[in-house]
Amino acid sequence: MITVLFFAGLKETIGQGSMSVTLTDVKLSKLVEHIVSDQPSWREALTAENIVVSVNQEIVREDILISTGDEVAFLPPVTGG
Amino acid sequence: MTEIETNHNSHQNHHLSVRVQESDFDVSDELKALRGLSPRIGGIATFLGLVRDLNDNADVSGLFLEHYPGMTEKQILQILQEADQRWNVIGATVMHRIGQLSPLDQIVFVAVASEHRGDAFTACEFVIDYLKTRATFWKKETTPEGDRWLVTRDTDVAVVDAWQEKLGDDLS
Repeated sequence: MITVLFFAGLKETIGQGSMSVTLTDVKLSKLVEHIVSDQPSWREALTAENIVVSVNQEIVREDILISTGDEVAFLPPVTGG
Repeated sequence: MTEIETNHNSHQNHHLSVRVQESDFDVSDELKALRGLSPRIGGIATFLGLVRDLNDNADVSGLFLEHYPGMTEKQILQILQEADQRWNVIGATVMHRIGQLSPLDQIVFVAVASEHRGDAFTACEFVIDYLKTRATFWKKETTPEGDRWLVTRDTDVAVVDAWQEKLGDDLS
């Protein structure tokens, strides 16, 4: 099982902060495709250019392999300080 | 209420502290803790960020802050470690509030204790500049036109780009 998290405006747009996906050893791009094919109305928000993805709390830029137990998060542009 | 404390002691025994919490903090308590770390400390440079009542030409009556528990603290600690490696840092503290805040409230506090003021000022500026664009915090403003999530400011990104230029490409 893969844990998927959504934060801030993204969480509000799609109406939930987390979900579980029962896939294992899947490329990040396939995971995203799996989620948006299940929830087509999320596609625009999740695949927006300014959304950054982290895996196990590290930002990833490449299409890495996601495994059971991993935590994947969709992060809108940050505005701290 | 979320309160996470991450204390890191590097091999050089420098004290780097990160706290993200809903509750307010007392700057004088934080300074007292830093002052007590070592008699080698010659000065402490600080930055205190506050909630403003005006942003992008809109009246702001409230500010809600969200973070990614665990990841945000690690990111800030990495920024402090980076500063610790580059400048003379004896101790450093970052406090950041989350939850619902109002104009005049304290949001963020950065303090860097060093032997000399030059390193303290520079490291403090580096930490707050990086924190603004490299740590997973999100702000939502309440304005008369409704609530709005903010997006990263180009000027804040430009400030970090300038640091990268100055310090070289080995920064993440």
